[in-house]
Amino acid sequence: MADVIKLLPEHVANQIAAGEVIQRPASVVKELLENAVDAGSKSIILHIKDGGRTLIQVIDDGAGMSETDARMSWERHATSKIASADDLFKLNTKGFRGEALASIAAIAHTEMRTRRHTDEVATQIMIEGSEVKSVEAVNANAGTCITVKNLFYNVPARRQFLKSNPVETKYIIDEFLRVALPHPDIAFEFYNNGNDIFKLKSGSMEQRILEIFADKKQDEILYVEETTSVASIKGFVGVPQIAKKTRGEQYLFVNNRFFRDGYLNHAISSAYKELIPKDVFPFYIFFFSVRPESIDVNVHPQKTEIKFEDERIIYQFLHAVARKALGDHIQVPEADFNMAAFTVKPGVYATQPRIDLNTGFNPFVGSGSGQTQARKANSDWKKIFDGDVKGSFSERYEAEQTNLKAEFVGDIKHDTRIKKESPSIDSIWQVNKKYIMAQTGEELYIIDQEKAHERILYEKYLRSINGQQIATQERLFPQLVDLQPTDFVIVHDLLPHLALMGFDLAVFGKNSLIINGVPAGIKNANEKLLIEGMVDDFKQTQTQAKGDRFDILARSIARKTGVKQGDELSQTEITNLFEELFQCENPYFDISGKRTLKILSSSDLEKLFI
Amino acid sequence: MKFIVSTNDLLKQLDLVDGVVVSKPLIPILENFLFEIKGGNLKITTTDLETFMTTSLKVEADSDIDIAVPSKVSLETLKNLPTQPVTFSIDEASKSIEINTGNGRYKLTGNEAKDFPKFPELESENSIVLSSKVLLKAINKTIFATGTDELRINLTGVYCQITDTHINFVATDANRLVRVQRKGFKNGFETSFILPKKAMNLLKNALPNDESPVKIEFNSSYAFFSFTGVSLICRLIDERYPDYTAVIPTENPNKLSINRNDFISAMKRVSIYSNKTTNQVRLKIAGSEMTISAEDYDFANEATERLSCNYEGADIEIGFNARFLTEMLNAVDTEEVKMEFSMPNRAGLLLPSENESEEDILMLIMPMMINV
Ligand SMILES: Nc1ncnc2c1ncn2[C@@H]1O[C@H](COP(=O)(O)OP(=O)(O)O)[C@@H](O)[C@H]1O
Repeated sequence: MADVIKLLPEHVANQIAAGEVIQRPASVVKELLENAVDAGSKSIILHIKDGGRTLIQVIDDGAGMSETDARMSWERHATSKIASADDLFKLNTKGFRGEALASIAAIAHTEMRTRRHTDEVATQIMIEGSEVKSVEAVNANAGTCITVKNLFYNVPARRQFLKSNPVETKYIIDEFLRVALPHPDIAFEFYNNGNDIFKLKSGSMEQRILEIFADKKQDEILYVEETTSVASIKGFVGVPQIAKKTRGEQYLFVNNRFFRDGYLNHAISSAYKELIPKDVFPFYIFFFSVRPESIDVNVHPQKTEIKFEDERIIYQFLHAVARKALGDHIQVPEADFNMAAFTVKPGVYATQPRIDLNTGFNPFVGSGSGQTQARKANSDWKKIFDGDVKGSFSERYEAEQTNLKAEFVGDIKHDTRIKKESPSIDSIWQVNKKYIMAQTGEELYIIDQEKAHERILYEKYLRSINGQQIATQERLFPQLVDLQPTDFVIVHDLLPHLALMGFDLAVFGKNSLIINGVPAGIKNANEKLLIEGMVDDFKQTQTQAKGDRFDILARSIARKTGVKQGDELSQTEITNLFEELFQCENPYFDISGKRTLKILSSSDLEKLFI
Repeated sequence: MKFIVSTNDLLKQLDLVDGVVVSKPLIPILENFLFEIKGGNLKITTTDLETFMTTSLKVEADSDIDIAVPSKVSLETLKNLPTQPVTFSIDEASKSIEINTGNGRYKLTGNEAKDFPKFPELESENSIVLSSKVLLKAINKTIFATGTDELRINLTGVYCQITDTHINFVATDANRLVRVQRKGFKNGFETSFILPKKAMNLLKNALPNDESPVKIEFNSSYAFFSFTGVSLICRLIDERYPDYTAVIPTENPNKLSINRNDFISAMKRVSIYSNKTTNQVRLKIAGSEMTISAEDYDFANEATERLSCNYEGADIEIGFNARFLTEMLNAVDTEEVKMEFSMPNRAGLLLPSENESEEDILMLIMPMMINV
């Protein structure tokens, strides 16, 4: 077999983002594991000791190297994976800079033992601080075993900056998972100080995920798959209940490469809006497959930031996919006094015969209580994790301001809206001018009229901005609203959207508006207060990350035009409200994430009297 | 003391004033009828403090007495008795009230009459007199159009505008408006006030549909109605009424005349298909045909119906809230109804094909539009 490693031309080497390749033991692990994956291994074993300070060893059963390649691999800018600058943009393998092994060799005592499957003897190379100590022919299994000892032995400054062993171990686990997750076809073993932390069999992606996240049940993870011209996406999203108070269970991969992206993270977490409280982070794993040319992996030396050609499209797409997964699977809230949750259809796991409810589980207190952590080490490193997903989201969002309307494309679409079946009502009545009770078969629905109507209107207003215009009820007595010049600017910018929502507004003089008409069908319509209140809502949210103007608008108007507690409703109105609620994308929560309804089954009622 | 009265006679009077009583009032005494018997005349009073109502009837009493009688129990008892004379035996000291029929004895406990709020003394500044029938009609034609928005208290009542020669009764909820005008007065003064809806409903229930005179006296805070032995005092809504005359369109070149019953029936059918929140129906008028249509995109429902009509003017398409329009059509008495339009975003007028003498009814409805 011919030798395959060539030295990169100088200019190509320079084109590559500079940076320190090896910052901590975890960086070594990442490079070694990625190399082993690239070598086509079926099984990869990782050993570490003392947080990787004293030992990091990666054993694979991949292609192995010829003696020459083995020697070459330790040279800077030696790589078999890239030969010209053009190739930089067509990367399907993980390593590409050809400087990982050279960097490692410079700062540790390293040993490589490698044999190609076709060769009879293996090559063993020992290097200390870039100095080749020995090259020998030895007996060894096919594949490659690289041992890195005494990392940073000659760089005391680096050594000082290392954290405690558990923290460094946690970083290593992070890197390990980022490689192990997208490669379920490869078996992985991971030993820390001789104890196994992970033993991952090769198998399906679902099995891999459940093996790694042993605290999750298979019906708590929903599967989605979508393909477009730009990218195909496979995703696993956790049901709202398993969202946690700490970050760390959010994974994005592009072409099986882990990356971080605050902007895309927002696309997904905003799909959970109202399903989970603000300070809780959903579980998700998304795999994108894109043409290698359409991303630039070279923007960060740690290779965890990636630039898509058209990130905005990916954003919308991702948001819609996540939303769909959640929307499809969130069913009627389960009737159980002990839990404030809703059932979820099992996703890809079609074998699940029925939905087992996790009672005593409160989705709003972060991670589930009383759940056994399958792996001790898991819980340890999760505890110490304070990972920070860096987000350049807000800056990017600014740039999107002009194009905001497109943000909704993937969200609630007018033409794709189909009538959903709402539960059929046997009898329905209003209680205390606050709640609507409805009996449907065996079940009793208790609905908070104010929260429910807010939800209905919010979705209606959002749809209206997206094209499903709301009719305008013209008013007999046009109202004049005088505004501060700054406030007037806010309203003036929103005039086209307000028109879609059903307002008939006309500019009058310099800083005044005339309200001629309001959205048809609204009950509490003091037009003047409505507009003034909306301006206030806008002013309050202005200071925060710009957020979504339409969302603020829809929220504000929904709050102000909705039915309130204390409003007496006619029979037609309550029936209508009930039916409209179940036409909503998300009938179960109001716009601040609070429950809109509760369902009691006949057994729940029985339980009340035991 | 004792008094004897026919259940039927008493019930009739109690029914008139019972509407004033609110359930769970601020002060419990308001749940009572105040009975005041003097020289064989029983005067019954109810109040919720905003409205006071009295009526009276002759009874056979052996002496005078004032007592507050629990309204609910006494009314229920009387309602469920066949028409017959009953004897009320009242013990002043213990306030016990016993209702004796041929076969039954029903005992309840009354309350101290002096705890019952006093009927306000009204110092009236002005008064008018009109026939009960006329007032009844004015109330019937306006009350449905009053507003319910608690942020606009002024629109929740019926505006009564008195000029030297006529009286206007006006109601609007800002989406539609009704003005019933009565002419032919010689009032000699001008004033206006807003009558609360509750009092209007009570009058609606109590006014006889005949020529009996109704005297209306008023000052800046109260209006006082008296007719056929009944008196009603109500506190006025102390708010400014909007200048409604300014919004009545004067130039309406497009004029429609259509059979009212056909129109109502078609509206009933088509509006079943309208969006439940907006209730929007659209009228398309061209030539001598009106097409009524409605649709609900959420449920993929739609309906259209064609009606023939008399129409003068340019083709027009205009949307309305079906409920508003139907209520207004129902408030018209004539066989034919007239509608007048200017533009699809301007008020439409609804008029009876003819008015009684000295009467002018005008209704106005604001359109509902999809494209602003
Ligand atoms: N585990 C391994 N099995 C087979 N070949 C390897 C392995 N590790 C490294 N190599 C070879 O050594 C070369 C240099 O590796 P490295 O310095 O990590 O650069 P890069 O991975 O960025 O190309 C790789 O291109 C590959 O050909």
